[in-house]
Amino acid sequence: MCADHTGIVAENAWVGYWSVHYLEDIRNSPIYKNVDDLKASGIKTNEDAGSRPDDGGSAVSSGDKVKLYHIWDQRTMTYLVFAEGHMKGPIREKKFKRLDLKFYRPDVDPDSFYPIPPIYHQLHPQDEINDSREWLRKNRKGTVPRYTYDKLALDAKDMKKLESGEMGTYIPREANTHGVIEAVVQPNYSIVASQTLALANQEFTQAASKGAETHGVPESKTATQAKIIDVRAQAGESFDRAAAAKWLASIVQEIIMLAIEKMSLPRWVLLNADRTAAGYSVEAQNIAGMWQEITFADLRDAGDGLDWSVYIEEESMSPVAEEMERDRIMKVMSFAGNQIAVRLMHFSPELRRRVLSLHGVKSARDQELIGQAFAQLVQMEMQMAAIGGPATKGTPSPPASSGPAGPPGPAGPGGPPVGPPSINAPV
Amino acid sequence: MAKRDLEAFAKIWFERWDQGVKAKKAWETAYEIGRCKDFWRGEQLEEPEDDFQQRKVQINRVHPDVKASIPSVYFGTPFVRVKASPALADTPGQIPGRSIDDRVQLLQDTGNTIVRDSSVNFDESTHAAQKESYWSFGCVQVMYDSTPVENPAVTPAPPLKEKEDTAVGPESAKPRFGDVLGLHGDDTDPSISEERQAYPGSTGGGVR
Repeated sequence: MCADHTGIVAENAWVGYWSVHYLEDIRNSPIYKNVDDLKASGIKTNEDAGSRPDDGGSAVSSGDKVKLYHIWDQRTMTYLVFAEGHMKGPIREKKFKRLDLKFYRPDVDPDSFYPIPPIYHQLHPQDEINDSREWLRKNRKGTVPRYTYDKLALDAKDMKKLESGEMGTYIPREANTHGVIEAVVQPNYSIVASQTLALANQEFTQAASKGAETHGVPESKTATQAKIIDVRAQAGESFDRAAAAKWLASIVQEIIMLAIEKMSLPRWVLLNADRTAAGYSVEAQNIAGMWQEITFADLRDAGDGLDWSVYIEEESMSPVAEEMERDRIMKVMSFAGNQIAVRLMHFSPELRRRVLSLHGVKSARDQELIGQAFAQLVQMEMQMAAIGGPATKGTPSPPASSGPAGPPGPAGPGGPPVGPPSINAPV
Repeated sequence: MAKRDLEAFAKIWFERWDQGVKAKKAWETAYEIGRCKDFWRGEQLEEPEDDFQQRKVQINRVHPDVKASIPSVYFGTPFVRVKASPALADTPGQIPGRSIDDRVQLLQDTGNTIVRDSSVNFDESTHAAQKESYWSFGCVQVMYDSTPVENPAVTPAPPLKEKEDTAVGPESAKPRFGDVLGLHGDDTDPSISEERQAYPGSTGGGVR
């Protein structure tokens, strides 16, 4: 519930929700004031099951419950609690620094706090699917094979024999008669229903913003089409994942802030090593004791005067994202086979960062590690060349110093040799 | 300071609340929120049986679509990264062990530990909210709960030392407000503080 001024949560004058509690609990709670003559709201027991845990009404009758309105007034930054029908003011009032409600709204309407739910766009295609399938079912049930027969050619009693399911049944017919039994031609309505069903399925897939392959229905006819559909689906999912990551990060940030502000007893925390990071096993071994006891003072000092923020690694949220990350890394690893590319990226860190970023490796740490590996490769090459070892596969041999001159280059006879410089040449 | 008219104050807020309810109802009507959830649950037909009392066909594509979509967005417990402001991160002359990196690491470890603590309900709450966002919107409340958490590194908490005024029997089994109602840190019944000191555990956060 909110004032619904705008799609931005912080710009709404107030937000809140309601909850249902046992009247006795509220009266006895020391945090609520002004509750001496608080009365039950008279609500039905199961009416509010969607908002708060409810025992189904078996233990306490509806007359023993009270409905509370929790309101965060964002203009005065005051948290208020009112009880339904209780006109003697708020039963609770206190200041707050941050809104502790964290909203996840994948499709925000800019003019309203309330989002557009994704399923809403699927309602109509879903209705069409059910309708078309129901029509097909009716047709299937209603379409019974019917026949006519030539009564001059067949006897009705003999015809009865054909109705049995017995194998090898035969009956007599008049000589020189043709087409004595003919099927009744019936109108076929199922073609239209089948077309509607296919159309509804297509519309549903479009509303879901995913490729039909996601639903196990092949849609693409060519590899190019499949690639386009896949890229679009991945982009959509990445967007959703990023939105979910931001939402989760805001929750975790609030949790850490609460720990800094409220934690009073020591707590044991696990020293985490990022499993997705390079050198995880080494990092994990370096942590002698995986648990560390932290105190209120430690946390307060850590956060004191420090401008920090939380983000969630998307790769840790879904195996799909993990797989995408792996593919990116593997693609970059394939550069190692291309010596020219390795050397170029070694001697131009700017180019390396640019190329790696374009291949989706955006982490500065990962880029640094890859850079170090490329440097090692180039160094090894140079050492091998210095001792006169065989040239690495794919690397052009250096021009022989005393042999015959090579073919003339584009600059004419006597010009520089064609091709990239060899590993011996200074770069 | 002039005394506030509490009744007028309550009346204003109840009126504002009613306006909020109207806005919410308008949204629920426009986007058929109830129907969206019914469709996900598989209640899509107004009359599930035909004239001959046979069940009509219902091919629910909404539920599998949501089910297929959820794991690709948010599946496991996320790994939390805390980063310091870039302007601060490269401050020269930092004391070893007290550097910005060390402090940020401590916050990050704390965050990851709390998130993975099952008593915090991080996974349940966030996954439920994410699912709800398909037909409505998701919302979680982050709050402080003073329920003691067992220390994983030591033996379990010792039994309480009973005093004359220590409640025993059915009275002690009554729920405490801070735990059951999920209220804020300063909502906790003061009598718990003594009990908390008996535990070598600590306090934690909570999400619902």
